[in-house]
Order: sequence, then C-alpha cells, then structure tokens
Amino acid sequence: MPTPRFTFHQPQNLEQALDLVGMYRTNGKILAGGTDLVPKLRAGLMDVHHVVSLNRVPGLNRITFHEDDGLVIGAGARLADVALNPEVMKHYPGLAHACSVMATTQIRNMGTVAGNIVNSAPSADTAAPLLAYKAAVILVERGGRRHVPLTEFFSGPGLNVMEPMEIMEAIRVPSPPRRSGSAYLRLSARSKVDIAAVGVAGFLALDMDGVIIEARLALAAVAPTPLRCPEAEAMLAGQKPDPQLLTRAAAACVRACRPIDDVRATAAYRRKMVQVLAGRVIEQCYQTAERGDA
Amino acid sequence: MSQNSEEKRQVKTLERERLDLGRLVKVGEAGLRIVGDSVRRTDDVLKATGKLKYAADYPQEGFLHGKILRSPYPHALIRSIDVSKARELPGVVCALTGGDVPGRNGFGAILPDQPVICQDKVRYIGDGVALVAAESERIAQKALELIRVEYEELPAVFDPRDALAEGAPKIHETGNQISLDKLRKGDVEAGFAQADVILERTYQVPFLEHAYMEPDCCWAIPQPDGTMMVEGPMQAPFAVRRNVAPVLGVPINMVRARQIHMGGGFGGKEDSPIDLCCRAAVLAKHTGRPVRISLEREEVTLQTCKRHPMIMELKVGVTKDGKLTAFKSTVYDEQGAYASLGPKIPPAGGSHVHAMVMSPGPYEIENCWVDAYLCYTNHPYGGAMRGFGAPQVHIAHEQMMDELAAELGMDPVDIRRKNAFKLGSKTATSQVLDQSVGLRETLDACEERFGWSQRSDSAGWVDAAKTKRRGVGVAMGWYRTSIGTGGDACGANVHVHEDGSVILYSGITEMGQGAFTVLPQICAEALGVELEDVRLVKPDTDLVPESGPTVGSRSTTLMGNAIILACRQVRESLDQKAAEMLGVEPERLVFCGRKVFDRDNPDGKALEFRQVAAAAMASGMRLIGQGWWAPPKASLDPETGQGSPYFVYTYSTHMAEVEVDVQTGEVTVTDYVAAFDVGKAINPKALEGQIEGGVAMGLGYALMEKVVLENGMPQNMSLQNYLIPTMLDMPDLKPLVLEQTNQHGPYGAKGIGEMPNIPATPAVINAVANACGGRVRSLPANPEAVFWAIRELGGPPQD
Ligand SMILES: Cc1cc2nc3c(=O)[nH]c(=O)nc-3n(C[C@H](O)[C@H](O)[C@H](O)COP(=O)(O)OP(=O)(O)OC[C@H]3O[C@@H](n4cnc5c(N)ncnc54)[C@H](O)[C@@H]3O)c2cc1C
Repeated sequence: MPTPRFTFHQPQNLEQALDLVGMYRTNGKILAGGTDLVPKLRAGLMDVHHVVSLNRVPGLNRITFHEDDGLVIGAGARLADVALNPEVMKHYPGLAHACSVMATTQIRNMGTVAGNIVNSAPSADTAAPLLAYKAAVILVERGGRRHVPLTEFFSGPGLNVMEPMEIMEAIRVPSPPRRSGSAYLRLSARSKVDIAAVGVAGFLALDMDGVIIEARLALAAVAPTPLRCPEAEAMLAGQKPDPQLLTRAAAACVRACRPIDDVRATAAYRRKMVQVLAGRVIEQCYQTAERGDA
Repeated sequence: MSQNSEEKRQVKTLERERLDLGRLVKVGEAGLRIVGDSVRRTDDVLKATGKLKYAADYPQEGFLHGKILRSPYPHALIRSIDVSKARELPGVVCALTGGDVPGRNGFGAILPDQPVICQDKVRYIGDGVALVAAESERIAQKALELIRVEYEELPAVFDPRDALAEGAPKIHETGNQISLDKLRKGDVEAGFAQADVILERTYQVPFLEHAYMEPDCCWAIPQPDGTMMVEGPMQAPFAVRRNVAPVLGVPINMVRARQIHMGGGFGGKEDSPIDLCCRAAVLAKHTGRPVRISLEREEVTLQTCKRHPMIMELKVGVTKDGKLTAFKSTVYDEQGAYASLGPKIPPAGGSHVHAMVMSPGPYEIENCWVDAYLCYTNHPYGGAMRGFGAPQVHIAHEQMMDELAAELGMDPVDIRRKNAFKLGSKTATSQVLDQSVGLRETLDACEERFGWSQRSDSAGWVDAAKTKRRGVGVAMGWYRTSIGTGGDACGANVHVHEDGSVILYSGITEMGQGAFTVLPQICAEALGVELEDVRLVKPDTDLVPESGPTVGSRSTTLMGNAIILACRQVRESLDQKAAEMLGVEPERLVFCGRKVFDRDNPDGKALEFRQVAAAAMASGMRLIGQGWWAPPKASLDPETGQGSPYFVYTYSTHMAEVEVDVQTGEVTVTDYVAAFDVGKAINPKALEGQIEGGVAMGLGYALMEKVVLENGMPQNMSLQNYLIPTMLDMPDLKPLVLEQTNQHGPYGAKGIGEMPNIPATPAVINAVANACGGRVRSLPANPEAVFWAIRELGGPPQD
C-alpha cells in the first residue's frame, strides 16, 4: 500500500493548534496517539493533507483529581497513564479497568482517552465507564470553550457533535460520593487484545442503609453509539438489590440496546451478554459501594 | 510461555532400536556431540536485533511495482477488459490481460488450473484479471482503478455438497468433483454388527488463514543472459521454478528461484510464491525490468490459499468395553476455486488423500470405510497448512472418541489406550507399523505429567457463584514424515575445504522452524567438525540440488539423510587419507570435534581435521560430496485406499485443562501438556519451539479462527478481525519429548513441524465439553458458540 502523504504540523501551544485546525478544517486531522488515525490513513480511508499533532502542546497530558472538582483527564493523557493513576484506580475503578484491558500494551502506551472518545466507535472501551461516571468533555475553538455532557456527545458510529475547528481539551469527571461503587466488564471473541463485543459499565451510590440512591448503567458495542440505560437506572434507584431486581434491571439494559450481527458476534448473543454482564456489573458495584466509603 | 523451560526440557529416550536395519543411513550412536544439543539457532540474534532482512526490507530502487486487479465476483464470465486508460496513465509501464501471458496461462502446485491472468472467467473473489507494472505502487494502484472490466455474473457455489449436486453451476470444465477417494478395509457393516454402541456425528471446520506474520512479497529480475530470476519468501523454490518456466515458455534452466528468509509460512508459502512469482515474471518479461509485487494483509486474505474446510460425517461402532469395531466416514473436502495442493499425486500425495488416510485416527480398527470427496467451489482455495488435511480429520475422530467414551461411561484416556497403535499395529490402510511407534508412551507420559486422574476427578465448578467450570481434555494424533508422492527425493552437496571449513548446499528453506540450524548440526556431526565450521548456502535453484518443497515435516529427516550421505562421500577420501597418516585401518577412525584419532587408542596421536582435509585435497581426492535420499517406496491402491502411503509417523498425545464461563461461553486454557515421539530430537530447544507454536495454532483453530465468508467475500481480512491467539491466550505449556528411534531417519529422527498443532484443537474442544457439557461440533468454539452449545443442553451440568 502506498504510504499516505501529508504535511505534519507540531504546534507548540493550544493557540497554534487551534489556528492550524481552523486553517485545515476541510482536509486536516488532529493526531493524539494516532492509534485510530494512522491505520485509517494507511488504509486510504480519508483524504487528509494535514495532520496536526497535539503531542507537543504542553499541559495536555495532565491527570488531576480533587475531592470537590473531581477528575480532569487532559486530552493528551495516555490510556496507560490513566489506567495506572492511583486516584483513578481508587475513585474510578471502572475507568481504570477499561484503560488497562483494552487494546494492547503498545497501543495503551500511545492511545489517549480523548482519542478514544473523539473516534466515537460504538465499542469504545472508555465510553461506557465515562458515561456511567457522568463525564463531560471540554471542547475549545478559537474564541470559545464549551462543556458537553458525554450523554449528548455521540451521534452515530464514528460520529459526534464536535465541529471541525474544535479540539477536545479535556474530559471532566465528577467526584464520586462516599459509599459508591463502579465497575466495567467487557467481553470479546478473543479474551485478550480484541475489540469489545459487549461492554457494560455501572455506577451505584448508596445511602447509609444500603439503599441505592443513584444508579447509572452504560453499554458499549451494542448500539450505534455507547449509551446509558435510563429504564434500568430508574428501576434500581430507591431499592436494595436482590436477585430478581438484578435480573429485571439487566433485562431493562437489554431493552436499551440495539445490537447488530457482525464478525465478532450476533445480535442475539450480544443481547444475552448484556443481560449477564449487566447483572454482574450491578452486583460488583453494589459490593464495592457497601464495603466502604471510597 | 515457559519461563522455566530449562527444567522442562527433558528428552526421554525410549528405545534405541536395531539401527543397523536403517536403509542406507547407518549412524553410530556413541558420542553424539552436536546432534541432540540445543545449540542456539543461527538466525536468532539477527532476528532479535532486527538485522535479518526480510523481502520487504530489500531496496526497491530501479524496481517497477506490480499490482493485480482482482475479480469482485465469486463466479463470472469476463465479457471484456479495457486497459487502455490504465496504459495512458503516466508512470504505468505495462497493463496486461490474459492474452499477454507468453507461455502457459496457468499455474498450480499440482495442476496448472489457475490462470496467471484470467481471460474468460473468474472463479473466486481474488482471481486476477489484469496486471499492471508502474514506477510506483501509488501509480499502479491508480492504474487499476482505470481498468474497465465487464462481467457477466454466474450463479456461484459455496458448499461442497451443493457443488456435487446435479445441475450445479460448473466451475471448471472438468466438473466440480475433483475426486472421490475411497478407503475400504474389512467389512464395516459386520463391524457395526459387533458393536454395542454406534454413534453418528457430523463435524465441521471452516477456512483458516495462515496469518503468517510476513505478508507475501516477491520480485522477478530479468538477467542479461535471458534467465529470469525470482526471489522472495518461499517454501518451495523448485515448485516456483517449475511453474514460472512454462508460464514464460522457457525451459526450467532459464529460471532461477532464490529464497529470502521467511517471516512464517505454515504451508501457505508453498502456494502463494508460485502465484506471485509467475505474475511478477510475466510483468518483468514484458517490461524488461525488475518487477516487485508486495501484498497487503488484506490482499493476502483475498488472494492466497487457506486451510481446507471440511464437513465430516462419522459413524463409529464400539463394544461396551471400548474396542472400536467399525469406522465409517464421508468427508466433503472443500477445495475452493483452484486445485492447489488438494488433488492426488499418486500414490498418496496431495492433502485430500492424506486426510482420507488419516481420518480413522491412530487406532486399530478392523473395519474402515471412507468416502472422501474433493470439490471445487467459488470460495478461496485450500492449500497446505500445517498438517495438510490431518488437523481437520483429527478434530472429527478425537471428538468422536470422547463422545463414545461418554456414551460408554468410560474415561477418555482408557478408550484411547484400548485402541491406540502399538508396534505391529495395522493402520486403516493395512500398513503394518513395524518400527518407531511411541504413541502409547506419549499417552502414559502425558497422563503422568498432567495428573489426568486427579484432575479429571476435580473437574466441575470453580467458584462459589457457579459461573465457571473447569474441565480436562485429551487428544491423540499421528502425522506422517514426507509427502507420499513416490518421488519425494532430497539432494545435498557438501564441500570440505583445505582449512577444515565446510559449505553445505541445501534447498530446504527457513521459515522460522530452524532448518538452517538443524541441517548444519547434522552436517557438523556427520563430518566430526564444529557447528561453526559449517556454512549453509541458502536455497537457490542455480546452486543447490533439487530438494523438493519444505513441507510435510520432511526436511530434517529427508534432507538430514541426504546430508549424511554427502558427508559420507567426503569421508571416504578423508578416511583413506587419515588412515594413511595415522597408520590404522579406516574402520577404526573417529572424526570428532575437528580431531581424527584411532578409536582403540583415543589418547594416542590425533590429527586435526583440517590437516586431513588439506592432505586429501593435495592428493586430488574428492572433497565434494553429493547425497540423495528418498523414502522407501509409497503405495496406495487407488480403489481401496490400502497400502503403505508414508514410511514413518510421528505420534503425540495432548492434555488440556480449561475454564469455561458458563454464562458467557468464554474459555480460558489454564494448563497444557503435550507429549511427542519424535524419533530423535536433533535440537531439543528448537523442537520445543515448534511445539509451543504448534499448540498455539491448534488452540486458535479450536477457539477463535475462521475466515468469515459472505457470498464468497472474506469479511475479516485483517488481523483486527481475523483473530489468532496472542501470547496472553497461551497456557503454561509443558512439552514432553520422547524418542522411539526411526530406523530410516538421520540419528533416528522423524518429522515434528506439523504434529504439535494437530491434537491441540480437539484436546481443547474436548476439555471445553468436559467442563461445561456443551460440545461445539462446528468450529470455532468461540464464546458465542460455546454459549449456544450450553443452551442447547438446557444449561451446564449442576454437579
Ligand atoms: C491494535 C489496536 C487495538 C485497539 N483496541 C482497542 C480496544 O480494545 N478498545 C478500544 O476502545 N479501542 C481500541 N483501539 C482503538 C484506539 O487505540 C483507541 O480508540 C485509542 O484510545 C485512540 O486514541 P489515540 O490517541 O490513539 O487517537 P488518535 O488516533 O490520535 O485519534 C483518534 C481520532 O480522534 C481525533 N482526535 C484525537 N484527539 C483529539 C482531540 N484532542 N481533539 C479533537 N480530535 C481529536 C483524531 O483526529 C482522530 O480522528 C485499538 C487500536 C488498535 C490499533
């Protein structure tokens, strides 16, 4: 395959980057880790003449956590860094897990969470936990900055609400309350190093009696976009989980999904797996939430 | 994978049998120094440091780039092709269609039924309809887009059973059935009458991609004297030459094929270099310039051969104490669009006949009946892939053994022990196994190391929540050494120089299996020099004697013998000279570690090997040896499938432990033991490498691999979607190497290259069934298939 040819830009700060992105909005692309972009360029899937790398923009790779403000994941933060960040591991185990089991070591060392979100694959592994954590993305463009809740971000397979001149600067994740728990489980045709065939993330917050105050569940790889499961969440709120409730809530997750048949799995199997994984996720969330004040 | 492999590497010699019976090749056992030693492979450092050059690393200056326009239809007539626009594109040097092939417009490993450029008809998606050579790949790619082809679609056939049906669309003029091969031994109906239990089962396996790491790449360089030189990674340079010559319309001596170090072949690079070299050579012939063709991964999937899919309908009878009484099987072996390596080369060559011969398994069964159909379809074509028809049939008979055992309430190990081959057994072709049969020993060794009885007792739930179950599986296997064509010869040249250094000329190729280490080991041992004294000349049809292809687990054994014979010719001179110099009888001489001395007086005077070589040379004695070796004659009756198709077999038993998530169908292979009777381990560490890689491959076949085809179009063309096991999927693997001397092999060796992946697949599948009750009879047993198999049962066992 002939290697694609393009001009490679390495802006030294965000302003320069925004200028370049604005200038080449019709035939340019942003590059973070390049693990989605480069294979697409090589496959000749895009007509790209300019590639704007964010890798020299200072400060973009930050990962910060404050009890009050929550977590900020800079757009340059690598999946591996997020996976191994002690605060992320402690407060957002579902996200840490997603970042540590997805892809391969090499890809995790290059790829970014932001890239995973912007790429907007239905199977994006970080999407489901971030949805469950009620994350929002910060988008900047020349002269503007907006926050978009992740629930409003995805619009189709590979599609989202970003404008061509925008850069994702960071992802904000609210701080989890005490007595909450979260988890992410995924399943793929090959257990390791494979795109997810089904992904389920959950978050539960409990009161002192162990009653669920808030529940959030999100699915990946079973619909055109990663999505939340409002019906199941409503079922769980105000309840203490028991086996019947788990089964019913998981069934509600199944109703939320719209899977397809592809080389990885059939839609029928994906539905069954949403049922299984959702049940397991809720249980795991509940157990961690009960255990502590984390 | 095996961190403590030093500890694990235990080679156990079972028996040194009457070595003197060996035909031609008689070797003294005493004092082997280099053979049997795990010397480091000669290419390891080059590979680890990135210095080894693969074809894609060679400079491309001055080369034109060839591209192939492929058919988008699985079956269609070509109404017209217009390449004029492509020819006009600046940078395009030529654009060729079928009429432009100078000689025979057909190639193939066995039958030349595949057009170099299709002229009137296409038979699969991936068939080449036009070739372009241009100054750059980019231009060549553009040129393809400018070629206009009018097709008239024909109804296509995608199932071998449909292909056989009356009125099925005809894929080749000769008809869709390439052959119906038959095996008849005893009287199966009488056998079924003796049986207490008869089971009928159908097992099915899909197309598999070799997924060699290195995509195909080759080039053709016209030489000033009119010779065409083709180079690339290739397993069979002589087969390449045999095809390129008629395609160019020149005699064989006008084509020179040279192998470049392969990044994996697994049988696939027996075929694909024929295809690519023929096409590159045609382009080079037209342009008078070097032409390079390099395939992308997706193109490899589209264009090159695969492992044959098969549908195997078995009916097997067994007495209540576990003795097999009758084996009946109908095999639908899907050849795909072109004959490749499927058809028979009498008496027993070709993958199809091999599959038929192996299909009842390594068991004594009085009554066998096999009908094996080989048919064309409009799918990609089946070629050689590590096991050549044997993995497929093992998947059937080894599952059947477990299903029979379950029916009888017998332990799967016991039913195998009851029926397994031993010395003197008669195979399904009535071949008497008169030597080197270590099958039962592999079962014993495996059973002990694995701890079969404890482990099978503790199979069942793993966790309190009852989501996971553990189970164990066993499978046995046998595999021939050599190819059963009756013309399976290998030649080697050995040149000894006056300073004691040696050049070895061999046509056996290196694809990661270690041939370039093991063959020099044999040469050094046979001459009594050190390994570093031997330099190997890489396969080059202008320099090395015909060796046949590097396939069929034949290289070490057949080429090893040829090398020993070549060394012996040189030794005649050296013996004579050294005898003179030492004043002893030649019979008493020992050549060892660059020294030559009197056997009866080892501490007495010793000569340097180089002294003897120099003296022999000065007196005009022959220091160039040439050895040729072919296995004992093969036989197979075309009507009854009875005879002795292959001269020796390697035997093996595998045991696997798995955990199955019964709610999701996910399988983890948690432990693995594999035992082999290899005759003689020339290089135990390299052999262990073959075992590890082979088991990984078999595990992939069991759990994840399948070329998904829709209307003839592969849906998973890249390694993102065509899943093969990674290191992380591998269990801790314990290889056990046993040696039951092969009297026909160099130092007793038999083939090992293909054997390790063969029982691995059914061992894993059997373990899955043992764990969760669900049996996946149509592979792969990916999580989804296992999930549905458990559902079909109405859930996992509850105990
Ligand atoms: C072998 C392999 C395995 C993989 N396995 C998985 C897997 O298991 N799960 C999974 O979810 N993904 C997987 N991926 C996909 C990919 O690695 C991830 O999506 C990764 O997170 C992408 O991040 P990146 O930084 O490399 O993105 P890039 O490739 O750099 O960018 C991706 C897209 O986002 C845009 N972009 C990136 N950053 C920004 C920004 N700050 N602002 C605006 N636009 C931006 C780019 O223009 C591009 O369109 C795999 C990829 C490979 C090659």
